[in-house]
Amino acid sequence: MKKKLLEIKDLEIGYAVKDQKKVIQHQLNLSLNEGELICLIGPNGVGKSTFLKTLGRIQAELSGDIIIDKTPISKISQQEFSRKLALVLTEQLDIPHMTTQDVISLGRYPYTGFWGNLQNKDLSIVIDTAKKVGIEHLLKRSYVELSDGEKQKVMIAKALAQQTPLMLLDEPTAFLDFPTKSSLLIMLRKLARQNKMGIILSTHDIELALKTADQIWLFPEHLKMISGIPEDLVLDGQILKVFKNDEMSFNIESGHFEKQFKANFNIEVKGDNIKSIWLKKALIRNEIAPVAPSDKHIICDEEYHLFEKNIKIDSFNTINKLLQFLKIQ
Amino acid sequence: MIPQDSTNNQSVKTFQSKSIRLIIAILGLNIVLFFANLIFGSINIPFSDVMETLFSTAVDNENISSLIILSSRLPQAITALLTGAALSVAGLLMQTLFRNPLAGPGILGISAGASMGVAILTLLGGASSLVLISSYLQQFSIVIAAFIGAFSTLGLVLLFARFVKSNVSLLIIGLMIGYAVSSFIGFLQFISHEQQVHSFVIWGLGSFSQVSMNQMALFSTLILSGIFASFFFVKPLNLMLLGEHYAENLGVNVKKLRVSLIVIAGLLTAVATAYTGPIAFIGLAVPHLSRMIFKTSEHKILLPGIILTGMAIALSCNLIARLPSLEQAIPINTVTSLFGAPLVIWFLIKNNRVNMSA
Repeated sequence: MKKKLLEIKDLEIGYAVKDQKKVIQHQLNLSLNEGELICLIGPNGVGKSTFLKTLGRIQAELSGDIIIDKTPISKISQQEFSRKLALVLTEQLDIPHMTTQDVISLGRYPYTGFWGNLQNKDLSIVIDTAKKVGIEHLLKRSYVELSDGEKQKVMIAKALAQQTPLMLLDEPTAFLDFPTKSSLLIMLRKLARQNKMGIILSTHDIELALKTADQIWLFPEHLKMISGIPEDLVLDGQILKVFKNDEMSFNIESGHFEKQFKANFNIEVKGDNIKSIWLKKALIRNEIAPVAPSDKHIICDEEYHLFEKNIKIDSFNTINKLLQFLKIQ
Repeated sequence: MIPQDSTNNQSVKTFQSKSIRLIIAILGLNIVLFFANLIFGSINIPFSDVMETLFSTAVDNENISSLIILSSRLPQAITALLTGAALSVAGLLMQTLFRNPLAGPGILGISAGASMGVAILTLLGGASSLVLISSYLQQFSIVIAAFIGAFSTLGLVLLFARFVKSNVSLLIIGLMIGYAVSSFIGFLQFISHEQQVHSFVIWGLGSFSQVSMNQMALFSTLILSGIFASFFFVKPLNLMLLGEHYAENLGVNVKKLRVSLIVIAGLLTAVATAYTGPIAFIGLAVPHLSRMIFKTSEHKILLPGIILTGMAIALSCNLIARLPSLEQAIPINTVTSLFGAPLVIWFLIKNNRVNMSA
């Protein structure tokens, strides 16, 4: 039986302005086991950040309980809480004259004495966490000179150095390029498994979240929050429902968000090689449906061969030339 | 790649020893400046006479040199030393608390409050009543008025600090209080006689020569206790570099910290301003200068570094203000800003060039 790290009971989140409550989500009942990575997804302004802030004690809960280690967080002292839950926030920091190592070292402060001096043990933890996150070569570099992705990793290393069972990350994939986003999430999942931690993060990269998360906590607009494993949520049609708009739609077969369009005409693409897959994408972008029934069809081998009523019209060596030809027609 | 584990501890140590060497160097500079302050002035006193006055047991009241040193130059040098340190520490605390490089001791309107106290006394109290009492009492009443003004503003800021959650809002409230107080002072000046306005303006130009040896005990006790208290906050100050939320997540009670830092910085600013007038520039610039000299944001090093740099800057300013060639001492505020501002700009540009070439 896996250890339950976090339990949320009848939680109500939102803002209290004077005597009025502005409730964003209510009746939240959730739990998180060790080794799990959870992704919060949902459109903007549905309360993902508020939820994370409430869990991280930046914002007070309106009612209900957040229980860590069988204790409601309101009963945990601030000192103790710093060893239970670590935060990685979205704010960009400007800290002059500090090396990466200095910043990660601040994560050890809950364990240090009056002056905040690091013992040898703390120092080796700092170096160890930098290695885990893959930034040990940056330890001597000045923090302000790092790229956004590197800074993000430094803050994750800082949070890891806190050695807490729980870690919350608010949109850690924002501002990163796609391969970095992907490897960041994979790294976080690995950390959760290795360190038996519970990691909760919010993200707008839905496809990545569906691929990586052990559980999805889905925040729809104006509706109650839904939790489940990614595949169940996809098959229930929940993902499609929450994220559908006029432009894009979630394709339940491919697992991708695809452009919704009305096809001008159809051209069937035959074959199953890589070239044909990318040709289909190009056609879709140009409002051409790459499916039968159609007069024309294309066969891809070394080149792209265009046929009309089974008579070969022409061959093209790039997709671009093929598209140009189709546009003239 | 170099194995990090073995080099890491060492590089931390070399950095610390480099900082310690820098601190010792600035300490040495302070000693030189301190003696220069005793030696140079309208009359230059030989070093041997200075040493004799300071360290001989037999007090010679007839000796003019020792009279000048003991009654004028020594208290002035000590006042400069303490004021420089106090304002610099207050500036550092405010800059770190508000994470704003433009914050300084005056940011919460406390020095403006002190000015208001003095303005009410000198402008409304009227010269006529002051003529009756001795100049010593007059001097002391100015200090008391500045104290009342500064601490009532501090109280007001603290009251707001209880209700206002956001640091930015508090900062703006402090600025607004400063503006309101300043305009009130402007109004007082408008309705006052020329002579009263003149004496108030003179006070506003700042001076290190207003603290007599009799007052030194109280002055130095207040300032030293404020500086001593600031050392208790090294750890949370470092965490505040990450911002309120991260600091809170790492165990800092930000609300309590905010009140403590405002009280310490407020006390230091209030005392310094009450005794020497509203001295501009030092509190804002010295923290920046020290960060550039020590190349660190670590408060364990920065705090002593800033204290010593603040002392050195104040002593230098006092020395320049009394350049032997000048007949009368220049107001200290003229010196701090006129000589200090180009110094900071030069440092900034020099540092930028290093950063760009690196």
